[in-house]
Amino acid sequence: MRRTPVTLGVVLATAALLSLAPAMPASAFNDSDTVTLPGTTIKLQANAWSPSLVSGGSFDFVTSSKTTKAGAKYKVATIKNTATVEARGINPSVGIPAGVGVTGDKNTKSISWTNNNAWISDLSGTASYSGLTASLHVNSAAFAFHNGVKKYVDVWSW
Amino acid sequence: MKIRHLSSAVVAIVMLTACTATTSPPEFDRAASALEYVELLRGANDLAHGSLDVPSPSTLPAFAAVASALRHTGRPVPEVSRDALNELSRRSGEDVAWSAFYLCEATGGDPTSVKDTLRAAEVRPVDSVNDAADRIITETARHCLGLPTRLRDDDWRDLARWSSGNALVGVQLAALARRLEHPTPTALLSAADITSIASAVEADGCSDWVHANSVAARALAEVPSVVEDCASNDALVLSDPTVLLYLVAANLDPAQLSRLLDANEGVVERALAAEGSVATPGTTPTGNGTIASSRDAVLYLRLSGVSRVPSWLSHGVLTAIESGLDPGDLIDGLYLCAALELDCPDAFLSRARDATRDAIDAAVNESADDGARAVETAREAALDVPQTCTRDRAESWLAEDPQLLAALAAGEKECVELVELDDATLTSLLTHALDDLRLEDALAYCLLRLLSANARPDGQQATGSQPSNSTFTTTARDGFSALWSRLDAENGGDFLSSARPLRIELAQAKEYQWLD
Repeated sequence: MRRTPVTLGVVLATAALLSLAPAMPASAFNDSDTVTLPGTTIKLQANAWSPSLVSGGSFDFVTSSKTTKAGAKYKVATIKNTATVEARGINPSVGIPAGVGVTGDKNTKSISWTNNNAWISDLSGTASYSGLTASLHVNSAAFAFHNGVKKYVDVWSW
Repeated sequence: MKIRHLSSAVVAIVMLTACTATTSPPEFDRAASALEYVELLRGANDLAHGSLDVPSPSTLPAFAAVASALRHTGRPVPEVSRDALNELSRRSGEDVAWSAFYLCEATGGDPTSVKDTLRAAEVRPVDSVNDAADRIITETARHCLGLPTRLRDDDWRDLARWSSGNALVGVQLAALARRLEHPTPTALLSAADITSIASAVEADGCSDWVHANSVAARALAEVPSVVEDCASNDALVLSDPTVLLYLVAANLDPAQLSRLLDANEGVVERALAAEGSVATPGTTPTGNGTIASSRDAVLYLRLSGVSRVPSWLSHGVLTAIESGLDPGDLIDGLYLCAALELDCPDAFLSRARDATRDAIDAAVNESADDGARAVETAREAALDVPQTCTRDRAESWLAEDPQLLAALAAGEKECVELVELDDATLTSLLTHALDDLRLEDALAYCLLRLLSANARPDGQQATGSQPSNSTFTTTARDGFSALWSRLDAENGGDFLSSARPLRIELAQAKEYQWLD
């Protein structure tokens, strides 16, 4: 049977393994949102990309957090990205291989990557799903902490 | 579950035959309804979304801030499930202390699962403003959860030192001092903080964060008139609901806070939507649609009897293609170029045709996924589809890849003549597919039966419709009906009618055409 395996896998390549991840497309298929760190002019941006949300039992995704100031890269004390994959349907299920720090339940999984003294944190990989999945969503949560000020923004690819 | 598309030729045949078999079908209503639905799927980039199901637009900090503000004004906080709060917490990626702080603000101090972790958390020295902010939040959360403070006099001094000059941290520290009944909380907001706030009002205007700092400063000390005026603003448009946490921390007059909440109803509503929501007519979809969903939408419209797709969709597809598609979208892009009769760039068409041919070859010879989608694209784009059916292959595909067999059979009738497609066999295969939740495989068996009936030389089933009283048809109708009921039951009761996932809408359109 050539179909989606019952045992699921969501393979997430962290920043350290980014070379294994799918390339970010040139097309503007990203969802993104930007906020300002309170009391500063530092911009925090969350990006989510997923080209095909319900197709063939698997899908690629890329999420990232970026900080900029006056349009240029700007390093902050802590920048973090959390990717969350959520499935809805009958017995929808997503999973992440053991050994990768993951939280969540059967139909929702999250993983985070934190960088210090950096302007970017990103995650990417290929997620797969089983069950009768009616809808799939990818969330990218960007999170920065700098000079005592913390800010968070997230965006869904749906 | 690999493929969701069938060629336009198949759609045309099936729609024609279905129409002949149905008396006075409400085609106009179906078409109008389908168009209305696809309009709702419109993404910010003029491509279609895959559903109207919008995950929770709330965030943990936003929910906590609005809940805290409502409580401060004496208003009720809407019920929200612990699961929903935990989901917001997980998504936020916050550490234990900040999660505890937000969860406690969100629930008004209910014990949370992080209480023990917070109790055992290590106390670290405060050597930076970030340390100060973390420590202040940790102690605020401990207080909220009913745990004793671990702050000693030296700690207060260190916190005041590192927060000096950072108004936001100063406000949090002053609020913590008030909660812990520190003897001199006003001393924790320095003159430098007040000067900084006044400068910010003059330089940036009374924006929401400057307003929060002004409120805090006014509560603790004599402030310049410019700060006083900003602090008194009760019609501020909030760009960031988390500022409400700071207003509560600064003990803003509940009446003024209440007026602010009233002036920002949309912000409040969005922050409280922790359980997820569904787009409604008139709602601007957030984010961008995709090429794959756009292909589904086009096929859905065809199956629903709509001959012209919305112009925005054609525009969105062409724009996306001209901007450069990801390799994974080439085949769907080619399908859309052909189906929508777009003037797509030659370079794209060349790449996409190669990708489509390669995908068919891989599916036929190497059992790769997504072969049916490539076959349907090839047919839509008038590419040659190789005649590949043999008895062995057809028998194998019938069990292993019915979508590929159905896609090939739509243009190569030998594919269905080579295999035994009697009712009993197809009903058994259909039942297994439905039991395994293989929706598209189950639909492929419906189409194979329809194609098989049309291919029979004796003219049996000449109308092309499924005999309504056959075992196969009854099994299929009952099976799909059970699936839709389960989808609703397992996703909150009215999932299909509110979220309207395109995958399911498309499947129902196929079911309507191929079974009725």
